Amino acid sequence: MKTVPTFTLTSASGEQISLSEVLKNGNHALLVFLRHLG
Amino acid sequence: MCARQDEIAALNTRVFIISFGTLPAVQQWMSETCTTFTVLLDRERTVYNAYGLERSRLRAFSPRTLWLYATCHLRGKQMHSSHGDDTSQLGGDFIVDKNGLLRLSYPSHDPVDRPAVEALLRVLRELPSQ
Repeated sequence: MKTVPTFTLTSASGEQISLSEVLKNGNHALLVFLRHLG
Repeated sequence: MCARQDEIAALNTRVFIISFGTLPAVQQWMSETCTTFTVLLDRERTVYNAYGLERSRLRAFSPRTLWLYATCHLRGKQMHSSHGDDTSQLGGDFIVDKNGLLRLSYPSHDPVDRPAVEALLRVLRELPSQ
């Protein structure tokens, strides 16, 4: 099993979200990448 | 997936929807769909690229995708414009456990190709809770 690239992105509500922080807090993450929003 | 959000949360999992759309387009999408998950903006598609998600005009307009668009149109469902965004960018689904290990990698082969929610839940149920 390989480790994943970590990232920090801004949410639609303006909050900075870091994947590594989410994992550090003991949560798993499900990442859903969308296509264009049309 | 929205209908199963309590189940997903009980499995100690946070869901992040990642979009390369503009903030107004994302806000409109959120108002029309599921707003309870956190939506993250990746305009430059840096994270899309890091996770190996491809662009393919050929697959973005595969026969089954065109069939989906046609049936939506026939049912009277309103289709939105792409807001000028790249229609060839494909999406995907990934599950990362709390140790940072990749437990599921599902890059979409075409726009219609998404894992079933039940398949995602099966993977999540197998992850260690502690």
